[in-house]
Amino acid sequence: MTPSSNTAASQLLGGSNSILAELYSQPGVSGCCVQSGSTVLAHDLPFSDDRVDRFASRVDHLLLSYTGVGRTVWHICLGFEKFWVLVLARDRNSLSILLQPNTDTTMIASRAAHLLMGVDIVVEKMQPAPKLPPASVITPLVPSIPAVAETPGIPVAELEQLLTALLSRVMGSAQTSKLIARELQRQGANGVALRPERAREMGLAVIDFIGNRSKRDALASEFLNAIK
Amino acid sequence: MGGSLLDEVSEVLIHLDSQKEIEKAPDCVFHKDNQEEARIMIFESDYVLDYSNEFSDLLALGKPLFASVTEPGRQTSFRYNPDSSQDIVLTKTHRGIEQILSALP
Repeated sequence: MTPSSNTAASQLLGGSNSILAELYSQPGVSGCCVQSGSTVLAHDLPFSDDRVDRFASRVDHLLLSYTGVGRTVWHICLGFEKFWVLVLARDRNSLSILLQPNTDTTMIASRAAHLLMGVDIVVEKMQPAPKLPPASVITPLVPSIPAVAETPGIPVAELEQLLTALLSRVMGSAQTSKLIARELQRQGANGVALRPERAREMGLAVIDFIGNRSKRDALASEFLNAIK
Repeated sequence: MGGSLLDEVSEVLIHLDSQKEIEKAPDCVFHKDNQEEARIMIFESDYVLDYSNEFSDLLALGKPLFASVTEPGRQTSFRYNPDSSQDIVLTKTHRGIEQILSALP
């Protein structure tokens, strides 16, 4: 037996006190593969890891095809000319056991089901503890009040007054008033005060109606300076 | 799965010929309410056989002979015969594979 050289393997397959040691005391057991989902945790099958990975992937797919239609599989016994394969499933973990033909699968399945619970515990222990991000990037559970809200808001009336003053230079006053009123209403400026960035967005949207590009840019620049 | 076949009987044996046509089955299989479940079992037999063939290719296991799927309150077993015919055994109680195979004709 050549257990895979990883932590899971040593816990699952290695030593007389390993979880699967009891399984190997049963007659007819020739090898096994422990997997979580399609990931092989440990195996001692006489094949390359790549081949066993593919086997595990297909086992997982087979089990998922049952669970996917609401059928809970306890175990699947597959008989072949040379070996039998007993696949036990428990949640997302499964244990595939290679058996000599004519082995008492009922006994093995009973023992293995118990052992699979032990695998659950090992898998649970193997889950890496969540790494805490640096303090600077920890997101508080309670969202902090945005910094912009701490700055005084810009009254809508003040924004209207500013825009009117700017746009009246290039447009008629009646047209300017209508445009500003319509745009501010369309953008939902119903509150008493706006956050500065929101006021900037709205103001620039109104200024965007100025057809002449150089006048538009000049007024936009003046508007942004005024709104700081 | 509704398990309607097992509501009526405790064991169902279906024999499929090499063309996957039912050659022998109890009357309950042909009841309208059970036909869907019977169809699924016939499909499942081939489905598991496909996987068995894949496993055999990967692990050099030899030709698939049988499969048995054990679920709570249900065990479905499939025997793949040399002449490409198949036997399907559905039981409520869980049995050892030897017991299932030996009971087949």
